[in-house]
Amino acid sequence: MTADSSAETVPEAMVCLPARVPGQRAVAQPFLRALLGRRARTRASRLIQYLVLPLAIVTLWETLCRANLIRVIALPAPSTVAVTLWGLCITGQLPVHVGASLLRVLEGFAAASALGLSLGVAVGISTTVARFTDLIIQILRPIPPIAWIPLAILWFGIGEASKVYIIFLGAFFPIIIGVIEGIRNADHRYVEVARALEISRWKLIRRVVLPGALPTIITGLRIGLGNAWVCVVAAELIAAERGVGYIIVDGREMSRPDLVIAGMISIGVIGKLMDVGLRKMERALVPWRAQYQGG
Amino acid sequence: MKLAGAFLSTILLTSLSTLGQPAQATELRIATQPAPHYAPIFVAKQKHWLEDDLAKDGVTVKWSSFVAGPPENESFAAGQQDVGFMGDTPAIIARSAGQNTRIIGIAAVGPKALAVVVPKDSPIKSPADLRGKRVAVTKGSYAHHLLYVVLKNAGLQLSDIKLIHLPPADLVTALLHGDVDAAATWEPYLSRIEEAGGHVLVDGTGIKKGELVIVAIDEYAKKNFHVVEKFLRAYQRGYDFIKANPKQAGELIASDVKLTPEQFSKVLPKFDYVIAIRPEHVEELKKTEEFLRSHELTKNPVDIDAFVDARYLKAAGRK
Repeated sequence: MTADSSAETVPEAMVCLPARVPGQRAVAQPFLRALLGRRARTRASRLIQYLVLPLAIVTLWETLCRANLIRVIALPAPSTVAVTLWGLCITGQLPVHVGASLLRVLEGFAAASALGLSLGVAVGISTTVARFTDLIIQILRPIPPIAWIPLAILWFGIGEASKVYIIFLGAFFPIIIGVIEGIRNADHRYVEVARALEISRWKLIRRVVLPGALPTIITGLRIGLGNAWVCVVAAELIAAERGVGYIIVDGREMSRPDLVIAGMISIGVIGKLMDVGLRKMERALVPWRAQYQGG
Repeated sequence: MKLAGAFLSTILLTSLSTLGQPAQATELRIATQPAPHYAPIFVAKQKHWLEDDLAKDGVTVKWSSFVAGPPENESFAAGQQDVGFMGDTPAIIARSAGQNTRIIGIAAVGPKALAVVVPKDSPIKSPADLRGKRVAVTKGSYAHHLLYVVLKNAGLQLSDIKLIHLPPADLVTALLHGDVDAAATWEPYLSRIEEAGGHVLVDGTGIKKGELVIVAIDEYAKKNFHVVEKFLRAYQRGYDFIKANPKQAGELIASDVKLTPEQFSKVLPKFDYVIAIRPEHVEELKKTEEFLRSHELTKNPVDIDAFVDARYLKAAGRK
């Protein structure tokens, strides 16, 4: 924020009369001011800062491919990938694949949330349950979902169930850890006050502990969903016919590294969009979070 | 930090770059698949003929094994192989993707070694019954083409079945566990499935010749003509040995082709280790190329006449 902006109490575009501000060119039309004004220039320079490095890398990559210094069968040019990605979009294939993957992720995430929240609350509020389950949770947690694929195929076959199971595993542990830690970190002062007022255990949990744990629980859910999306590729290694992970597997089998990269880009973009959406939801659900962290 | 960056970019550029291949190679890297289709080279391998022959030229031999064409193509794309054996379908797919290989020989022709199979007590009695069923196949392999032709002859399209991509070993498991209703695959998996009670619904006889090819990297073959020549001669020698001593050959290469000597003697009649590239082989390759292109399984057309290079065979045959 520049020092001058505090002097601008109305949006620049609404200023009807031209005015001179020291250091700024006088312009007659208000829209020109919006385009060339200081705030717009800051926004523009910030945008450039975001874009300059990615654009430089892509340009270098394309140049090396065109100059035949990179073997395009190992790393296709960005122009090839762009054409492939565009083709996937306009033929309607990409939405079908994305939809199939999203459905699996939502199913796995729903199952992980249901089990993670209920089990997490049980572990968080009861030290006995915690002691019983601690070893199992801590030993299973570091096992990557990919390692579960052979068992998933043996138990659930090669249909949707085994894929949803892998995704469930990816989402489950962040969620349950988030719930447990959230409950453990509930502010003791509130708990003591509630205890002093002699409210019932159930009310204590419902009105004090859980709301206090909510920010951490939501963080756990956000990480869980992100992890579930990352596991999509692992899950779709199991004989998938559709999905963004399938695009990558298919690209590999058919010697189409451009498809592989197109699939990777799709996964990255959608993962980013999901995270943005979740952060917005988090701000809406837990508005007190900022003060909570600060306090 | 600077050193790490320089180190990393060197690794990246050398693996991706087109530069830096030595003029005369000191190594022959051979890509194989564990299947009876390539029995002659396994005889040569077990007998060390290539190692002995090439030692005079100061060339060592390195053998690699891949479960199917697509992973073998990956290794070629990474610049790790010089010559290799695969089905016609993955060879054409790789060439279409820009892989700089040429076909230097026909490893074998075996229409009976390639088939659509069903498990025991399957209700599927003819290819027309495949409609709507789950059929497993290793996508990009030559069994994929066979499946297409089988369906086409029954009036069906690939879209009329649920095509499930699986690597060869998982495919056998899925078929025998009932996870899929049918599968398209090749020896030695056919024998394995038949021994577990499954049977062949239809094989390649009359519909797909089941050609397996020998490929070589353009640059390597050009600069190492004599090495490639000796390589093809070793293959021919392996074939001569199999013809003269089939039983002994079976025992020698059992672990390479993943078949017991008894199984090998049963499947051996299914193969004709042709080696020479005849016009009918080129015609068959063109049919496969047309299938791949029309089904958008390959992006760029492949000129089969330019893809095939019989010069190395001619040189090997003269001596």
